[in-house]
Amino acid sequence: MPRETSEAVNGPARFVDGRAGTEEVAEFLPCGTGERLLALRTTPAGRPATGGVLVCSSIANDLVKHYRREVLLARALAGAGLAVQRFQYRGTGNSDGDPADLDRDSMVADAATAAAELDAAVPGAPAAVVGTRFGALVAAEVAAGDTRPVVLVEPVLDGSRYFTEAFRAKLMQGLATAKGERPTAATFRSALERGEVVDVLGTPVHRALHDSWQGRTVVDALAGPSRPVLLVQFGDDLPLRADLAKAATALREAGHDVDVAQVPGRETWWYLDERELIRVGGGGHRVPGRAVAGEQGDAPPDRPAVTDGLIGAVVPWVAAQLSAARSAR
Amino acid sequence: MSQLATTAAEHPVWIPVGDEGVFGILTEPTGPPNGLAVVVTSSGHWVTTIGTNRTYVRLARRLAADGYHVLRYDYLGVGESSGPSRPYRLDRPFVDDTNAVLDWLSDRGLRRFVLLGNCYGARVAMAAAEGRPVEVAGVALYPPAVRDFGHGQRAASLPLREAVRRALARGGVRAVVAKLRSPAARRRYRAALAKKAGARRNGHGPADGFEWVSPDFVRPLERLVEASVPVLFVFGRDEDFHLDFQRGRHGRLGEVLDGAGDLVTVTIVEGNAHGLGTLAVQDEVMAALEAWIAALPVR
Repeated sequence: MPRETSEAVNGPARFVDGRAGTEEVAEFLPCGTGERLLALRTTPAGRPATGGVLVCSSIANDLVKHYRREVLLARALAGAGLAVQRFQYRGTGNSDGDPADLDRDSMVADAATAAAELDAAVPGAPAAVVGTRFGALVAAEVAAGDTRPVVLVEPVLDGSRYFTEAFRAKLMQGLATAKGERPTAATFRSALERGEVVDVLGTPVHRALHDSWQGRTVVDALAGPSRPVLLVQFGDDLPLRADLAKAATALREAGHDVDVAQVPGRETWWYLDERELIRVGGGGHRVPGRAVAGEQGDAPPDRPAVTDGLIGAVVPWVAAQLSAARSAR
Repeated sequence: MSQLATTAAEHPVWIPVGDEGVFGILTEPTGPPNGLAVVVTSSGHWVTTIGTNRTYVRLARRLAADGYHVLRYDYLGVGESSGPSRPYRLDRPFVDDTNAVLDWLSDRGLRRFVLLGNCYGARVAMAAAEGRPVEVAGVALYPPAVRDFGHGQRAASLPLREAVRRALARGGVRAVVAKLRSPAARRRYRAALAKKAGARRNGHGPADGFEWVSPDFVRPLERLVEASVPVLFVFGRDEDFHLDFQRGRHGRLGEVLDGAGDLVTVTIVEGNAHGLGTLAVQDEVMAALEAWIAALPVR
């Protein structure tokens, strides 16, 4: 079956992949503020979807690094008969908006806009929510009031901690290049309080984003109705992250049905260029059967293994949860 | 300048390339159209139509305000495009994707192009422009990888003496010693040193004849100059690509540049332009690109 593309000026673009049996639609969705966000929907081609999946991406360099994995995950989910809605928050990516206006309210509102679009595409079908890294916080907030299954991939579990990590990443980069007096995380927080922008590895952190996520956690956001939750960690040869283990326990105590999956591979979050990390003595992780990043010649560092592992963990889990939800209706 | 473009002036597309589809976003001019189409070729590391901190998006929307059509796109196997992932090899840039994009624009009446490429994308832009110089109004490289090296091997592929010299220049002895406190860093440096020593013993190591500039970089540059295509280089003052460029000027590259006269512009910005890793360098590079493009003849 051939592949087809179609376009309309100022309208959605479509790509049908007959071999994969998927159809993709890219369009700009209005958000009620006069601004629009880029939304991308992947569905089974030529057959109705049996469920929907909303994907809440991360931000900054994490968005770039994980981008292709989410595209491939969406295509794999569509191959399993599900419609997948991805989007880019206003103030990020290809959407409209000023990054200075990016905050918790706008991010959750954009996720709700995308969720409504998904509902319209597959009316009445059960849905799940996937969030990666910072997107996990958004996913938890947008799903807070219902019982949709939630998948959290390498999640940022605490908004406050994310910015501490961001400032730490900035400091690590500075270690390799800065001379003289070195700033601290407190220096950056003071700058935000003065209304300045903090440059974290080439991405601006504004006060609105920083302040609006302080004290917000995934566990608190999911304090409502019980639901299935899948926590995914990259690195099947590592102990479970302490914060992830703690969150799993807390979510179980809150009545959720929690699964944890550890998939092969690693990701150097924050750093768009692995060499930035190599300069400060990190990176160079060893994955069984694969070369060390930076020594592997032509091969992209461990990306296929991570992607395959992610798809292998998430697709069957989501398909099973949505199948169970359909049966229960 | 007219008002900056927004998504109201943009539409996403999938451009057919054989059985596959290249995803892109076309930004229409919000000012009077000048007939030039700017094509943004992405850097490596799976960077998409967005670029670091939306640099590609911001650049497209700013240039559209000056009357340019701008298309940013994902290579096949990257971002929203279809197809399997391919290794980013500097000596094998993804030219087919770019030619499909240029043909698609040409079919829509846009037949004069400015190509903008960062790092790997610079090689793509040069290779594509080399094949159709008559249609190209200019090529901006911000910055290009001047010599060839494998993915993630930029520093490791340098001659040992040069690698040490650059490491010391970058952070001083204290910084190098500080890094070597990490056992992982020590292991990595030991392995790199052993590899270099082994290569030298076997006669395969880079010595005086080290190729600072790839023939795949000089050849398209030479052809563009012959075809009178303006070329802009933007380098960060202290970055590796600039140091390679300077070292390479003693050879064939220098002859080409000397013969190019005003066709070739070299702009130096502070910091490291490769990767556009700070807000300041992003602003400087975008300003340099805009100023250079504005000076190009539009017809």
